[in-house]
Amino acid sequence: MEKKKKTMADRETKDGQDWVIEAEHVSYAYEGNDEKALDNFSLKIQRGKKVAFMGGNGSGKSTFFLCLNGIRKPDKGRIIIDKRPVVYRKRELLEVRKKVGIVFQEPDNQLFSASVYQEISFGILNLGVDEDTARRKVEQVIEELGISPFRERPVHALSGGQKKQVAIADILAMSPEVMILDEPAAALDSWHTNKVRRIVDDLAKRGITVLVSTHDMDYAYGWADEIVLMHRGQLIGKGTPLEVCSDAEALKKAGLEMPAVLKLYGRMKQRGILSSDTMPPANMEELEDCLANAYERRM
Amino acid sequence: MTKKEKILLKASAAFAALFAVAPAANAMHIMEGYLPAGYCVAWGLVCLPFLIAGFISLRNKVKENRRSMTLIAMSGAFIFVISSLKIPSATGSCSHMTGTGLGAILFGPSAVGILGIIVLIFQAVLLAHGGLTTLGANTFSMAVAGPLVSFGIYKLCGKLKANRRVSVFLAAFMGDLFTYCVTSLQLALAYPSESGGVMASAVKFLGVFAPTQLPLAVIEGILTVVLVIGLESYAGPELNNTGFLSGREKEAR
Amino acid sequence: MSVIDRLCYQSRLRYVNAEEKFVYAILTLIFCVASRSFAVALIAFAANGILTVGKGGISLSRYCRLLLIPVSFLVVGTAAILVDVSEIPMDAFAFPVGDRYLTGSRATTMEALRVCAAAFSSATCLYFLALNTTMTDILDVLRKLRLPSLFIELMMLIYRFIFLLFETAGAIRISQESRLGDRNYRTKARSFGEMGSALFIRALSRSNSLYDAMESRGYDGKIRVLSQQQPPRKKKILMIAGFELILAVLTIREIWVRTGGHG
Repeated sequence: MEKKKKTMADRETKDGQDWVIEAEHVSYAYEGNDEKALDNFSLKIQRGKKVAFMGGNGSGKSTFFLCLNGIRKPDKGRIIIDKRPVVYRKRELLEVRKKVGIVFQEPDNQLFSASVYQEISFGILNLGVDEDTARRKVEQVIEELGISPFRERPVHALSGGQKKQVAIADILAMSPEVMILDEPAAALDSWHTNKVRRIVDDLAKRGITVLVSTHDMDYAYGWADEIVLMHRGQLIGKGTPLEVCSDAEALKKAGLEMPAVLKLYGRMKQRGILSSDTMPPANMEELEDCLANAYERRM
Repeated sequence: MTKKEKILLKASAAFAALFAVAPAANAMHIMEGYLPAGYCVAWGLVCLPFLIAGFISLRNKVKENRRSMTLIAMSGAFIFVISSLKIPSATGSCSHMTGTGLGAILFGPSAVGILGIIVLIFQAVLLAHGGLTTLGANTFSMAVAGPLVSFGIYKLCGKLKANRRVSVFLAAFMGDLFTYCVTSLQLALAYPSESGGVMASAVKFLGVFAPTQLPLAVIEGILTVVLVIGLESYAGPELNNTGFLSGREKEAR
Repeated sequence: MSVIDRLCYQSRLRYVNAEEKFVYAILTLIFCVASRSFAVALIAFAANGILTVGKGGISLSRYCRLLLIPVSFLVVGTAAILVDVSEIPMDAFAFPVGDRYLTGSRATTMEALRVCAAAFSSATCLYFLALNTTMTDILDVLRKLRLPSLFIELMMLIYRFIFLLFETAGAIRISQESRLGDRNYRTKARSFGEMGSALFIRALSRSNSLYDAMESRGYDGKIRVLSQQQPPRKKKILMIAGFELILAVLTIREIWVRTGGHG
């Protein structure tokens, strides 16, 4: 244990960052396809960060996620989780899947049991914990995610949003260090979308590294520490939201538009309403403050 | 009206009344508690070797490739769902396919044995078709005997290079007919006629279920053709990749 | 789709220990079938009715409607047992038809009535189990009975997947109907085939995804899940044992009488 800590500290001081996920020149093509789903894709993600993956359909986001927990093995390159390259053997893969959890886009593609309780208990029991510990964890997760009101109903009688909560719960019960949510708000009504966003924020607060794929630029801009842009399996942009969103060409290639907040900020600057030395706002509230300040100065 | 005509009228009226009740009866699941205890156990024992063979074959498939676990389960669910969907019958009343002919053609008779008994258990518990005591008898007629015949005819037609639609139709139709005959025989063995023994009783049961089962067999034949052809045209490569198809499709590709 | 499935989740007896319910239902079922006795049938019918409607909370009208489901088979099958075609008229009834008779004997009529009683009361046992126990709980009991785990796991998956497929089938049907897929019998058949193939294709791709999801959570070939069961209650066990003892005595007596012993 001591030796492990020392190596981690060494690595930290070497390049000053604690990388929990590293992808090195990863390429992957689905069987029977000529076109690559991932093309020489390299990426590093720091522990504890909130990262938004964006790009059109078919840009390779889901494929990349499946590489991160060893479901898909890259044709070329390698994946390194928590400083250890992924080894595609049973025991090592289990270790990786303990650390990296994926919540699939469609809950119906993930939930295999008709019982909420049994579904949530599946993952954690596979990690080899004893029954009592598993029970405690399952109860804890049910409580945290607000699943109690519908825990006794069969899964097939749940709404989409409720199924999503169960899907998140069954990953969370495994206490992952990295949580990946593939388009978590897809097909959810706004109440459930907000609920999922609160859950995601809560995860990040606990120090879990959260990767989210989304099409919602405004959400990504306000929420993420980092945005990753993908197009046709390649990395076309990575950086802080402001950096990425200022790269108009990359945005266009990824089929994305500037977040509304930045757009308005740009136009206000153009029209001289906001002075040219105003800092770009991170969200709606900051933009509101900028405009309010500018108005007051005029008065 | 002569006396004879009156009698014939009464008899045909009675028969017509029966006919009106009969269409509500669907595929021939023997209902819960209908067979004497000895026969329940006996038919269960008769099925056992087939079920064990089927189980071993499925277990080997899963050992070879764990991914086939969800696929096999989906196939079982598919058979259940197909057999639960109401299909329009020529008489206007509602019928249900058994789905076992389709299962035998797509997945092979050993898989259909195990999937069939699971489907029968769900049909008994979730839909009240069939029963737990009659599970042995129903499994034998619907999940073992019928599918074996379907599969055999399908293969035979294949060897004879018969027209594909005709092969599938005959396989499903004959499988259904055989199931119907086996069920009638099971009932006749349990309740032999006083005056004619088992054979006379079998004739009675065959006769009484004929109005529903014969048209049903035809419909099942037609719909199985439509399904199999549809699956092959739209899902050919996927089906092939699963390695779950019975031999012929693989040859045909 | 399944009224029974929906009802079992609402039953007031849902949280009673599943093994207790299972043992009660199966034992009573066995005695109904083994005895063919009117007494056993009546007791079982009454007990199941009281338990399911009274204690379980299923509405009486619903229960009656469910009991009608096997009736058509019962009527048809019993008619076939009852009525014989013979040259000799028998002692219960006889309708001359041509030079034969449509006839039945008293013994056969009695037997037919016994079959009806046994079948009907057995059906109520099955209904008791199905209406008051969720499938998940039934599978837990089967697991305890040491049925092969592959079998149980298949059942667990199939149970869930059935509902997935129904949803998909429903959606496909709706879209077909809005495109007038059922104008005549021919188009109906073709729509059915297209729906079936579309359903299976989606089922295939979904099964892949579900497997990925299970693997992502460490699936290694054995589905391990926790079960939520209330512990069995001594009082209930005693009541069940007492009840079944009564049925056992009646059954033995019935078999004794039937095999020619002097009761």
